[in-house]
Amino acid sequence: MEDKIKRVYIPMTETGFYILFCLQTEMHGYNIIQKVSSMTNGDIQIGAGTMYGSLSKMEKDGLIQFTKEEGKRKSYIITDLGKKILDIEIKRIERLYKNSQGVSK
Amino acid sequence: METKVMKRFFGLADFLEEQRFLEEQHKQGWKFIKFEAPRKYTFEKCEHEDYIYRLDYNEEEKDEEAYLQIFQDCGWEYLMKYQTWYYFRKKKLSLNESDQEIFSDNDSKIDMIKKVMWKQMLVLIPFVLFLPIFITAINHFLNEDIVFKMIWIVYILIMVFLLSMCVHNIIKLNKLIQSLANPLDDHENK
Repeated sequence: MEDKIKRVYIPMTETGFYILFCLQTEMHGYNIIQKVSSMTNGDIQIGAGTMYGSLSKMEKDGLIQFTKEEGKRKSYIITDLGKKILDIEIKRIERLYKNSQGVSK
Repeated sequence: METKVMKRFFGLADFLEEQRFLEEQHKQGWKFIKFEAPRKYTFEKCEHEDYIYRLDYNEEEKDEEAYLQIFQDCGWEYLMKYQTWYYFRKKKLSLNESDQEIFSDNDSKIDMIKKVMWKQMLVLIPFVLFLPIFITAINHFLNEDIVFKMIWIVYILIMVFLLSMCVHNIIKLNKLIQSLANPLDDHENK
């Protein structure tokens, strides 16, 4: 099962990565959109449809879990499985970065 | 308020054309009020303005409030829903161009089109299931009277029409997916 999840999520889309990364703290969809926008100086503006779709998919796949509903906004937080996947992805990106700098290991 | 009604037909695979049609109307000073099946669009007179219209396909009804909330937070005005299609609009601002799409990456665009395509494929299942009955009926057809034959011919024509519409939609949706997945390939020439 975990292997399947890995195959689907790694490598991750930029949107997927930022969503999972942000959900290391509890947040709702629009929070994430704002945070990603400010983290990237407005370069990445996640669309409403993309956000909703990603959250439902990640919840279904067990990477994140629903925590609470405030007004009509649903908050989520990363799960252990999500952390594992995020960790693998971060290591992958770090290696990519190191290699692009021409530093060995 | 002055209103007008227009008759237009857009199929399951024509949501991009429908969006463009609504944007065009708004630009000409007619804002979209509602759609009634199969092809009635009601508009109300308004300022000539550039608005973005977007249609989203969403099957998860139980989560509808949270779904609409995200769109509202992102500045989309929710207009109406027809079956599993949701209509949104937003004023076009030249400053903030990255903020004008409901889907910000190709993967999510393709995901939506795939959902629409699956729906269209489900419609094909009854056709396949009825095929054996259909073939037996054709055998009887040869020795039946003229009225029966007429009914059958009409029935078959309707079926052929529906089937070809289905196939047309699936081909069109698939082309959309291909052009999103491989934007460098030339999909127009063919």
